[in-house]
Amino acid sequence: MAGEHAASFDARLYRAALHLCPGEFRRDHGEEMACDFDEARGEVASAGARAVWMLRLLMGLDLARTIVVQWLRTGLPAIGCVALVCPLVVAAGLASAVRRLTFRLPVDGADAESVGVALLGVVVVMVIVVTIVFNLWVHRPRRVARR
Amino acid sequence: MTPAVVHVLLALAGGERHGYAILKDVQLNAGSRLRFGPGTIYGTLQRLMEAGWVEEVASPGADVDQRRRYYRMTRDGREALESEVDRLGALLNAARAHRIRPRASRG
Repeated sequence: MAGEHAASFDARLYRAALHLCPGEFRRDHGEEMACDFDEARGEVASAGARAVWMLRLLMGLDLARTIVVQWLRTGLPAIGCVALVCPLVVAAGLASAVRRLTFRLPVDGADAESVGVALLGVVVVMVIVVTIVFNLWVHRPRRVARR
Repeated sequence: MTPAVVHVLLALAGGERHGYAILKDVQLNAGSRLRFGPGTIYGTLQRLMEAGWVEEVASPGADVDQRRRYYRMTRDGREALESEVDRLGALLNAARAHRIRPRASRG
């Protein structure tokens, strides 16, 4: 009875952890993976506690690795990093260049606000452009497996 | 080709199989040296389907578990596996020429 309860808990935990996978992969293979886990769990149920813990460890490591690999394959982490880093680097470079300029702009309070809004607008546009370009680049058609 | 790709293609060389049967085959062939789980197998199958080396086929009958999906190797997949086996064979011959033997064959 306790064994069945533990198996049911393991299965529910595994199914819940599957939700950490990207949606497309989960829709394609989530049900099969859960089914495989149930079958493997049933096979080791009579082999003792050590075998059950080994299975939990192996399945947990495999799932953790799969979550990382599948998210990396979507390209979203890379898109996020580039979308964050590129505008910051460009903005820092521009700020550094402007600081070295010798002329001074005769700005009063209202003009300073306008310049601030314009700079903010430029950064937002850069974030959008970099995200679109990088998204298109990451999702370009390609052959994944190599001969 | 990664070890997972080779093992999955080898498992499918025997005919169409569902994911868990592939996993069991891979575990049998790889032994304790390589540990594969369902995530690795289905991630590999997905890549192989994208490459056109594996395709999904209809379930062989109505009495099978309907949650299971069946996969088989395509002609391109078989050619890729054969060329990989050739490459591994050449590598093994080169190792033998240098008197390097597999550990399992030592007495």
